[in-house]
Amino acid sequence: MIPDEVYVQKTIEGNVESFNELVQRHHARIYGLAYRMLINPEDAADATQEAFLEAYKSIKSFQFQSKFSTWLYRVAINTCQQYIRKSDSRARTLTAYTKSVEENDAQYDSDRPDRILVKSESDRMVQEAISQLPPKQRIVVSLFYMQHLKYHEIAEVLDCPEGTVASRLNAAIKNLKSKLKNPHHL
Amino acid sequence: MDLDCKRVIENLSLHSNPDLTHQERTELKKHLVECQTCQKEYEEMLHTVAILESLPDLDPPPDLVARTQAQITQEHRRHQLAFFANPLARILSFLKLGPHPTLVNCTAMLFYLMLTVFLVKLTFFDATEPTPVSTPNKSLQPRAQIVGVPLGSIKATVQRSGTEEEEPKEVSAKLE
Repeated sequence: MIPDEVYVQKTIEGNVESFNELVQRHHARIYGLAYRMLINPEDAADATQEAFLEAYKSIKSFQFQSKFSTWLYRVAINTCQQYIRKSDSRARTLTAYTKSVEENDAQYDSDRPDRILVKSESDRMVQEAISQLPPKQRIVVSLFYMQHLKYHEIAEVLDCPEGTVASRLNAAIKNLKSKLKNPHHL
Repeated sequence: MDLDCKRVIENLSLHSNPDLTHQERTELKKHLVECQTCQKEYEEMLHTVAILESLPDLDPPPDLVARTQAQITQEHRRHQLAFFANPLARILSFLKLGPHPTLVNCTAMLFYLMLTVFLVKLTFFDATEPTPVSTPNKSLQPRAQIVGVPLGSIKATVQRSGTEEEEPKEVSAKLE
Protein backbone atom coordinates (compact mmCIF):
# COMPACT_ATOMS: atom_id res chain seq x y z
CA MET A 1 0.00 0.00 0.00
CA ILE A 2 1.35 3.39 -0.98
CA PRO A 3 2.00 5.55 2.09
CA ASP A 4 -0.08 8.69 2.60
CA GLU A 5 3.00 10.86 2.44
CA VAL A 6 3.60 9.94 -1.21
CA TYR A 7 0.13 11.21 -2.08
CA VAL A 8 0.75 14.33 -0.02
CA GLN A 9 3.93 15.04 -1.98
CA LYS A 10 2.09 14.58 -5.28
CA THR A 11 -0.68 16.89 -4.07
CA ILE A 12 1.87 19.56 -3.25
CA GLU A 13 3.22 19.16 -6.78
CA GLY A 14 -0.24 19.93 -8.15
CA ASN A 15 -1.86 16.53 -8.60
CA VAL A 16 -5.39 16.87 -7.24
CA GLU A 17 -6.21 13.20 -7.85
CA SER A 18 -3.70 12.24 -5.18
CA PHE A 19 -5.54 14.27 -2.60
CA ASN A 20 -8.80 12.69 -3.68
CA GLU A 21 -7.22 9.33 -2.91
CA LEU A 22 -6.47 10.59 0.59
CA VAL A 23 -10.11 11.66 0.92
CA GLN A 24 -11.15 8.14 -0.04
CA ARG A 25 -8.83 6.64 2.58
CA HIS A 26 -9.61 8.84 5.54
CA HIS A 27 -13.16 10.11 5.14
CA ALA A 28 -14.77 7.47 7.36
CA ARG A 29 -12.46 8.18 10.30
CA ILE A 30 -12.84 11.92 10.00
CA TYR A 31 -16.60 11.57 9.72
CA GLY A 32 -16.63 9.32 12.81
CA LEU A 33 -14.63 11.88 14.79
CA ALA A 34 -16.79 14.77 13.57
CA TYR A 35 -19.95 12.86 14.43
CA ARG A 36 -18.80 12.15 17.99
CA MET A 37 -17.84 15.78 18.43
CA LEU A 38 -20.84 17.44 16.80
CA ILE A 39 -23.41 14.73 17.45
CA ASN A 40 -25.35 15.56 14.36
CA PRO A 41 -24.97 13.65 11.09
CA GLU A 42 -25.52 16.64 8.83
CA ASP A 43 -23.07 18.83 10.70
CA ALA A 44 -20.60 15.94 10.78
CA ALA A 45 -20.79 15.52 6.99
CA ASP A 46 -20.40 19.27 6.44
CA ALA A 47 -17.51 19.45 8.89
CA THR A 48 -15.81 16.49 7.20
CA GLN A 49 -16.04 18.23 3.83
CA GLU A 50 -14.78 21.46 5.31
CA ALA A 51 -11.91 19.73 7.10
CA PHE A 52 -10.70 18.11 3.88
CA LEU A 53 -11.00 21.40 2.01
CA GLU A 54 -9.02 23.14 4.73
CA ALA A 55 -6.42 20.37 4.64
CA TYR A 56 -6.13 20.72 0.86
CA LYS A 57 -5.69 24.48 1.06
CA SER A 58 -2.99 24.22 3.71
CA ILE A 59 -1.31 21.03 2.50
CA LYS A 60 1.92 22.93 1.89
CA SER A 61 2.19 23.56 5.62
CA PHE A 62 2.48 19.80 6.26
CA GLN A 63 6.06 19.30 7.40
CA PHE A 64 6.35 15.48 6.98
CA GLN A 65 7.44 15.28 10.63
CA SER A 66 4.30 13.51 11.79
CA LYS A 67 1.93 11.08 10.12
CA PHE A 68 -0.50 12.63 7.67
CA SER A 69 -3.44 11.12 9.59
CA THR A 70 -2.28 12.87 12.78
CA TRP A 71 -2.09 16.18 10.97
CA LEU A 72 -5.50 15.57 9.37
CA TYR A 73 -7.06 14.80 12.77
CA ARG A 74 -5.72 18.10 14.03
CA VAL A 75 -7.27 19.98 11.11
CA ALA A 76 -10.56 18.13 11.62
CA ILE A 77 -10.63 18.87 15.36
CA ASN A 78 -10.05 22.57 14.70
CA THR A 79 -12.85 22.58 12.15
CA CYS A 80 -15.23 20.81 14.54
CA GLN A 81 -14.35 23.18 17.37
CA GLN A 82 -15.26 26.09 15.12
CA TYR A 83 -18.56 24.34 14.40
CA ILE A 84 -19.21 23.78 18.10
CA ARG A 85 -18.59 27.43 18.79
CA LYS A 86 -20.83 28.80 16.11
CA SER A 87 -23.54 26.22 15.62
CA ASP A 88 -26.59 25.45 17.63
CA SER A 89 -26.36 21.77 16.80
CA ARG A 90 -27.00 20.74 20.38
CA ALA A 91 -30.61 21.66 19.97
CA ARG A 92 -30.91 19.41 16.95
CA THR A 93 -28.84 16.63 18.44
CA LEU A 94 -31.34 14.25 19.92
CA THR A 95 -33.79 13.98 17.12
CA ALA A 96 -31.11 13.60 14.50
CA TYR A 97 -29.08 11.08 16.49
CA THR A 98 -32.05 8.91 17.38
CA LYS A 99 -33.13 8.89 13.77
CA SER A 100 -29.69 7.93 12.46
CA VAL A 101 -29.15 5.20 15.08
CA GLU A 102 -32.50 3.71 14.28
CA GLU A 103 -31.65 3.75 10.59
CA ASN A 104 -28.28 2.11 11.26
CA ASP A 105 -29.72 -0.53 13.52
CA ALA A 106 -32.51 -1.25 11.15
CA GLN A 107 -29.91 -2.23 8.58
CA TYR A 108 -28.05 -4.67 10.83
CA ASP A 109 -30.81 -5.98 13.05
CA SER A 110 -33.67 -6.25 10.66
CA ASP A 111 -34.20 -9.84 11.78
CA ARG A 112 -34.29 -8.91 15.46
CA PRO A 113 -36.89 -6.16 15.96
CA ASP A 114 -36.70 -6.51 19.74
CA ARG A 115 -33.01 -5.53 19.70
CA ILE A 116 -33.56 -2.37 17.75
CA LEU A 117 -35.37 -0.54 20.48
CA VAL A 118 -33.08 -1.64 23.32
CA LYS A 119 -29.82 -1.01 21.48
CA SER A 120 -30.79 2.31 20.00
CA GLU A 121 -32.04 3.51 23.37
CA SER A 122 -28.79 2.49 25.03
CA ASP A 123 -26.70 4.07 22.28
CA ARG A 124 -28.75 7.21 22.49
CA MET A 125 -28.07 7.49 26.21
CA VAL A 126 -24.36 6.94 25.79
CA GLN A 127 -24.17 9.40 22.95
CA GLU A 128 -26.07 11.96 24.97
CA ALA A 129 -23.75 11.42 27.92
CA ILE A 130 -20.75 11.94 25.62
CA SER A 131 -22.32 15.09 24.21
CA GLN A 132 -22.48 16.55 27.71
CA LEU A 133 -18.78 16.10 28.35
CA PRO A 134 -16.54 19.16 28.15
CA PRO A 135 -15.15 19.41 24.58
CA LYS A 136 -11.58 18.45 25.56
CA GLN A 137 -12.77 15.27 27.25
CA ARG A 138 -15.10 14.50 24.36
CA ILE A 139 -12.19 14.71 21.93
CA VAL A 140 -9.95 12.31 23.87
CA VAL A 141 -12.81 9.85 24.36
CA SER A 142 -13.51 9.90 20.66
CA LEU A 143 -9.86 9.55 19.66
CA PHE A 144 -9.14 6.78 22.16
CA TYR A 145 -12.28 4.66 22.07
CA MET A 146 -13.70 5.30 18.63
CA GLN A 147 -10.61 6.08 16.57
CA HIS A 148 -8.40 3.66 18.54
CA LEU A 149 -5.43 6.03 18.71
CA LYS A 150 -2.63 5.43 21.21
CA TYR A 151 -1.81 7.87 24.00
CA HIS A 152 1.25 9.23 22.25
CA GLU A 153 -0.72 9.73 19.02
CA ILE A 154 -3.48 11.61 20.84
CA ALA A 155 -0.82 13.69 22.60
CA GLU A 156 0.65 14.54 19.20
CA VAL A 157 -2.72 15.44 17.72
CA LEU A 158 -3.63 17.65 20.67
CA ASP A 159 -0.09 18.91 21.18
CA CYS A 160 -0.11 18.11 24.90
CA PRO A 161 1.73 15.68 27.24
CA GLU A 162 0.60 12.07 27.47
CA GLY A 163 -0.20 12.63 31.15
CA THR A 164 -2.76 15.22 30.15
CA VAL A 165 -4.37 12.74 27.79
CA ALA A 166 -4.55 10.15 30.57
CA SER A 167 -6.02 12.57 33.08
CA ARG A 168 -8.63 13.81 30.59
CA LEU A 169 -9.61 10.24 29.84
CA ASN A 170 -9.92 9.46 33.55
CA ALA A 171 -12.05 12.52 34.10
CA ALA A 172 -14.21 11.65 31.08
CA ILE A 173 -14.77 8.09 32.30
CA LYS A 174 -15.75 9.35 35.74
CA ASN A 175 -18.17 11.85 34.24
CA LEU A 176 -19.67 9.27 31.93
CA LYS A 177 -19.97 6.75 34.73
CA SER A 178 -21.95 9.13 36.89
CA LYS A 179 -24.13 10.24 33.97
CA LEU A 180 -24.91 6.70 32.90
CA LYS A 181 -25.52 5.70 36.50
CA ASN A 182 -28.11 8.46 36.82
CA PRO A 183 -29.69 8.60 33.39
CA HIS A 184 -32.37 11.06 34.54
CA HIS A 185 -29.57 13.68 34.71
CA LEU A 186 -29.08 13.38 30.98
CA MET B 1 -14.33 6.61 52.12
CA ASP B 2 -10.92 7.04 53.70
CA LEU B 3 -7.97 8.96 52.29
CA ASP B 4 -6.49 5.84 50.73
CA CYS B 5 -9.70 5.17 48.81
CA LYS B 6 -9.86 8.77 47.54
CA ARG B 7 -6.29 8.49 46.32
CA VAL B 8 -6.99 5.17 44.68
CA ILE B 9 -10.03 6.51 42.88
CA GLU B 10 -8.09 9.54 41.76
CA ASN B 11 -5.19 7.55 40.38
CA LEU B 12 -6.80 4.29 39.64
CA SER B 13 -7.23 2.60 36.67
CA LEU B 14 -7.55 1.98 33.12
CA HIS B 15 -6.00 5.21 32.12
CA SER B 16 -3.31 5.01 34.71
CA ASN B 17 -1.32 8.00 35.66
CA PRO B 18 2.06 7.59 33.88
CA ASP B 19 3.79 9.43 36.70
CA LEU B 20 3.03 6.63 39.18
CA THR B 21 5.96 4.46 40.23
CA HIS B 22 5.89 0.70 40.01
CA GLN B 23 5.57 0.47 43.78
CA GLU B 24 2.61 2.86 43.83
CA ARG B 25 0.87 0.80 41.21
CA THR B 26 1.38 -2.40 43.16
CA GLU B 27 -0.05 -0.71 46.27
CA LEU B 28 -3.08 0.47 44.32
CA LYS B 29 -3.73 -3.00 42.99
CA LYS B 30 -3.39 -4.45 46.45
CA HIS B 31 -5.85 -1.88 47.80
CA LEU B 32 -8.26 -2.73 45.04
CA VAL B 33 -8.33 -6.37 46.03
CA GLU B 34 -8.90 -5.53 49.69
CA CYS B 35 -11.39 -2.65 49.41
CA GLN B 36 -14.95 -3.47 48.32
CA THR B 37 -15.84 0.19 47.64
CA CYS B 38 -12.91 0.77 45.31
CA GLN B 39 -13.50 -2.58 43.65
CA LYS B 40 -17.08 -1.58 42.91
CA GLU B 41 -15.90 1.76 41.58
CA TYR B 42 -13.40 0.00 39.36
CA GLU B 43 -16.00 -2.41 37.99
CA GLU B 44 -18.30 0.48 37.17
CA MET B 45 -15.50 2.11 35.28
CA LEU B 46 -14.89 -1.10 33.36
CA HIS B 47 -18.58 -1.23 32.55
CA THR B 48 -18.54 2.35 31.25
CA VAL B 49 -15.55 1.59 29.08
CA ALA B 50 -17.24 -1.54 27.76
CA ILE B 51 -20.26 0.56 26.78
CA LEU B 52 -18.01 3.05 24.99
CA GLU B 53 -16.22 0.30 23.13
CA SER B 54 -19.49 -1.27 22.07
CA LEU B 55 -20.69 1.87 20.30
CA PRO B 56 -21.19 1.03 16.64
CA ASP B 57 -18.92 2.40 13.95
CA LEU B 58 -20.70 5.06 12.03
CA ASP B 59 -21.24 4.76 8.34
CA PRO B 60 -20.68 8.06 6.56
CA PRO B 61 -23.29 9.16 4.02
CA PRO B 62 -22.74 7.29 0.74
CA ASP B 63 -22.22 10.46 -1.28
CA LEU B 64 -19.78 12.07 1.16
CA VAL B 65 -16.64 11.03 -0.73
CA ALA B 66 -18.01 12.17 -4.10
CA ARG B 67 -19.16 15.50 -2.66
CA THR B 68 -15.83 16.13 -0.96
CA GLN B 69 -13.81 15.16 -4.02
CA ALA B 70 -15.94 17.41 -6.25
CA GLN B 71 -15.36 20.31 -3.87
CA ILE B 72 -11.60 19.66 -3.82
CA THR B 73 -11.47 19.47 -7.63
CA GLN B 74 -13.42 22.74 -7.88
CA GLU B 75 -11.00 24.39 -5.47
CA HIS B 76 -8.07 23.06 -7.49
CA ARG B 77 -9.53 24.53 -10.71
CA ARG B 78 -10.26 27.84 -9.05
CA HIS B 79 -6.65 27.91 -7.91
CA GLN B 80 -5.46 27.31 -11.47
CA LEU B 81 -7.36 30.29 -12.81
CA ALA B 82 -5.51 33.51 -13.47
CA PHE B 83 -6.85 36.41 -11.42
CA PHE B 84 -8.22 38.15 -14.50
CA ALA B 85 -10.17 35.04 -15.53
CA ASN B 86 -12.17 34.87 -12.30
CA PRO B 87 -15.16 36.95 -13.46
CA LEU B 88 -15.50 34.79 -16.56
CA ALA B 89 -15.21 31.62 -14.47
CA ARG B 90 -17.96 32.88 -12.17
CA ILE B 91 -20.25 33.49 -15.12
CA LEU B 92 -19.49 30.02 -16.49
CA SER B 93 -20.07 28.42 -13.13
CA PHE B 94 -23.37 30.30 -12.82
CA LEU B 95 -24.32 28.78 -16.17
CA LYS B 96 -23.30 25.38 -14.78
CA LEU B 97 -20.43 25.12 -17.22
CA GLY B 98 -17.02 23.94 -16.13
CA PRO B 99 -14.50 24.14 -18.95
CA HIS B 100 -10.82 23.48 -18.29
CA PRO B 101 -9.08 26.36 -16.48
CA THR B 102 -6.56 26.77 -19.32
CA LEU B 103 -9.41 27.36 -21.76
CA VAL B 104 -11.00 29.90 -19.42
CA ASN B 105 -7.65 31.65 -18.96
CA CYS B 106 -7.05 31.82 -22.73
CA THR B 107 -10.59 33.06 -23.43
CA ALA B 108 -10.29 35.72 -20.79
CA MET B 109 -6.91 36.79 -22.13
CA LEU B 110 -8.29 37.01 -25.67
CA PHE B 111 -11.24 39.03 -24.44
CA TYR B 112 -9.04 41.50 -22.58
CA LEU B 113 -6.73 41.76 -25.60
CA MET B 114 -9.60 42.60 -27.92
CA LEU B 115 -10.97 45.08 -25.43
CA THR B 116 -7.56 46.76 -25.18
CA VAL B 117 -7.21 46.99 -28.96
CA PHE B 118 -10.68 48.48 -29.25
CA LEU B 119 -10.02 51.06 -26.55
CA VAL B 120 -6.63 52.01 -27.98
CA LYS B 121 -8.14 52.45 -31.42
CA LEU B 122 -10.99 54.48 -30.03
CA THR B 123 -8.68 56.72 -28.02
CA PHE B 124 -5.81 57.39 -30.44
CA PHE B 125 -6.61 56.51 -34.01
CA ASP B 126 -10.21 57.65 -34.48
CA ALA B 127 -9.38 61.24 -33.44
CA THR B 128 -6.71 61.77 -36.18
CA GLU B 129 -8.99 60.96 -39.10
CA PRO B 130 -10.12 64.11 -41.02
CA THR B 131 -13.60 65.06 -40.25
CA PRO B 132 -15.74 64.94 -43.36
CA VAL B 133 -16.40 68.44 -44.71
CA SER B 134 -19.69 69.00 -46.43
CA THR B 135 -19.42 70.36 -49.98
CA PRO B 136 -20.62 73.91 -50.05
CA ASN B 137 -23.90 74.52 -51.78
CA LYS B 138 -23.27 76.20 -55.02
CA SER B 139 -26.48 78.15 -54.88
CA LEU B 140 -25.19 79.82 -51.75
CA GLN B 141 -21.91 80.91 -53.34
CA PRO B 142 -21.71 84.60 -53.99
CA ARG B 143 -22.18 85.43 -57.63
CA ALA B 144 -19.29 86.78 -59.59
CA GLN B 145 -19.12 90.47 -59.32
CA ILE B 146 -19.99 92.20 -62.58
CA VAL B 147 -17.43 94.70 -63.35
CA GLY B 148 -17.38 97.09 -66.26
CA VAL B 149 -14.45 96.26 -68.47
CA PRO B 150 -13.27 98.28 -71.50
CA LEU B 151 -13.98 96.52 -74.80
CA GLY B 152 -10.34 96.48 -75.87
CA SER B 153 -9.30 94.42 -72.92
CA ILE B 154 -11.82 91.70 -73.81
CA LYS B 155 -10.42 91.43 -77.28
CA ALA B 156 -6.98 91.16 -75.89
CA THR B 157 -8.10 88.38 -73.60
CA VAL B 158 -9.67 86.48 -76.53
CA GLN B 159 -6.56 86.82 -78.60
CA ARG B 160 -4.42 85.48 -75.85
CA SER B 161 -6.67 82.64 -74.78
CA GLY B 162 -4.05 80.04 -75.86
CA THR B 163 -1.29 81.67 -73.80
CA GLU B 164 -2.80 82.11 -70.42
CA GLU B 165 0.56 81.76 -68.72
CA GLU B 166 1.63 85.20 -69.70
CA GLU B 167 1.67 87.85 -67.14
CA PRO B 168 -1.34 90.07 -66.93
CA LYS B 169 1.06 92.97 -66.91
CA GLU B 170 1.87 92.46 -70.59
CA VAL B 171 -1.80 92.39 -71.52
CA SER B 172 -2.43 95.65 -69.86
CA ALA B 173 0.67 97.10 -71.53
CA LYS B 174 -0.59 96.22 -75.06
CA LEU B 175 -3.96 97.63 -74.39
CA GLU B 176 -2.38 100.85 -73.56
